[in-house]
Amino acid sequence: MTTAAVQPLDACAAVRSVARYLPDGVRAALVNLSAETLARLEEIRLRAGGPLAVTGAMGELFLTPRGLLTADPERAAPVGREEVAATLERMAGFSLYALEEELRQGFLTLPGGHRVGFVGRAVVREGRLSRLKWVSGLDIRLARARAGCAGEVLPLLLDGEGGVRSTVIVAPPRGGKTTLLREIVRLVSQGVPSLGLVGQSVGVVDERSEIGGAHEGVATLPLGPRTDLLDACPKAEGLFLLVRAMGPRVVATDEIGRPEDALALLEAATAGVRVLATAHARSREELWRRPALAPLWAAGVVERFVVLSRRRGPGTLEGVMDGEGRPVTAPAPA
Amino acid sequence: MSPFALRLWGSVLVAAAGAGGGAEAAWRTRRRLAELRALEAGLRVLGSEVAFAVTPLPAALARAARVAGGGAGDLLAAVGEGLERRGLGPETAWREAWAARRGRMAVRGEDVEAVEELMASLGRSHREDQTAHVARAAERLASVAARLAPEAERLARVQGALGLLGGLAAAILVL
Repeated sequence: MTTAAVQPLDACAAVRSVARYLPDGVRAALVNLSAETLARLEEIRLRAGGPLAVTGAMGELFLTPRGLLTADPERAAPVGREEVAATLERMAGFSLYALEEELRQGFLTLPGGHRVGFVGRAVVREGRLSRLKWVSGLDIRLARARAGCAGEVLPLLLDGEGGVRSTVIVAPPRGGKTTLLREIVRLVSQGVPSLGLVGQSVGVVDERSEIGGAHEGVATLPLGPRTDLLDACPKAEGLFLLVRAMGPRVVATDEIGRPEDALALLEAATAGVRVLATAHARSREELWRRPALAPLWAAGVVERFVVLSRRRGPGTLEGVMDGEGRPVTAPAPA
Repeated sequence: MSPFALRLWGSVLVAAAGAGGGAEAAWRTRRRLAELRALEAGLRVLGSEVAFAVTPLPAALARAARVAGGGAGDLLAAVGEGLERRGLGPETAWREAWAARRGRMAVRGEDVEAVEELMASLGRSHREDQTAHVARAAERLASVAARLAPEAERLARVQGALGLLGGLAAAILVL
């Protein structure tokens, strides 16, 4: 458990921080991208024997060796099997043996919080996926801190007594949930006197190292001065541990969905701790139908739902609702 | 100084140089053995770090280097630094580290073939496989050292004696 460090990352820095792992040809193509395209870039995909692909606000396109975006895969820079393998080895610090859990789960997190998913040949033992070998495809999702992205939402989450209400951020995959959660954590930890929000201790359980982008347990993305980060720990266990050991006023975690996650959050909430979490769903109603999370709704501990979409790019705010599903809007200025 | 005294001093210097040369050769032979054993000890630590602590390779090599010490430790540390700071693969990092240090070390290229071969597979597979690779390389170093040990002692004595006798013979000729 460590106290989070503050090191903001901009769009170009995010690409630079992953570029050192990439094959020369891919790196050269990325270097030639304009700053505007880099800022819109969300994913880089390497497929053995396939074209170099990138995804972002512009959709899924291919990248030529000269760094031009194209819809024609024939013009794209080719990616070889050896290049995919060498990239993974560099990402693993030449220590694939130290990433057995990651190879089993199918993803790893790079310093900076960039998540790399991979596919390849599955090794199955006793009917269960043991690990992946001969990795043939990598999907690098760029993480970045977006200071200010919670500006519209945060006033709707405050309790009027200097604190934040228990909140679940709802969005489909790549909808900007984690980015918003990270920014809310930073602001709650730091405090926003102009909104009457007092800085308070926040405990973050970061099972996939995406909230803090931790490297060797230390956050590389800004989480605020009063944040304690429990990195790479299963959510339910981590929440119990944090509440017991660190006495946070607020706990935060990403992508809840299992019954034990709901019970751990419920336990924290009934101990007087406010909870911040994210969950995959397109709407509050869709989330409400997930039986694993039913105890949370039944207990009424979640006071705010923030719904995001990708309608106008990741992080498009669709609405904020209270625990009963009623829209919450900003009070009219006096 | 008389011509005889000059010859006497000259012969003493020749004898000393011969003895010194022999002692140096003997010392190099003993050092070769010591470096081999240090490399083997380093690899044993590396194996433990991989098998039990699952330490990432750069840190595991740094720990192995500390245990090995001396020239062998410096060599392993340089490989780890190549990985950590320059993003080189183990094979390239080893090649560069060995090329830069082989002139200063007593071990020879053929002594460390096992380590060179290990570097080609290091870090590229799962834990059991890696542990087996490292153990095999350490065993090969141990077997080279075991073969060299009795010979090294004998060679060291012979080289020392030959140096001294050669020097004395040269001194007699000078006188």
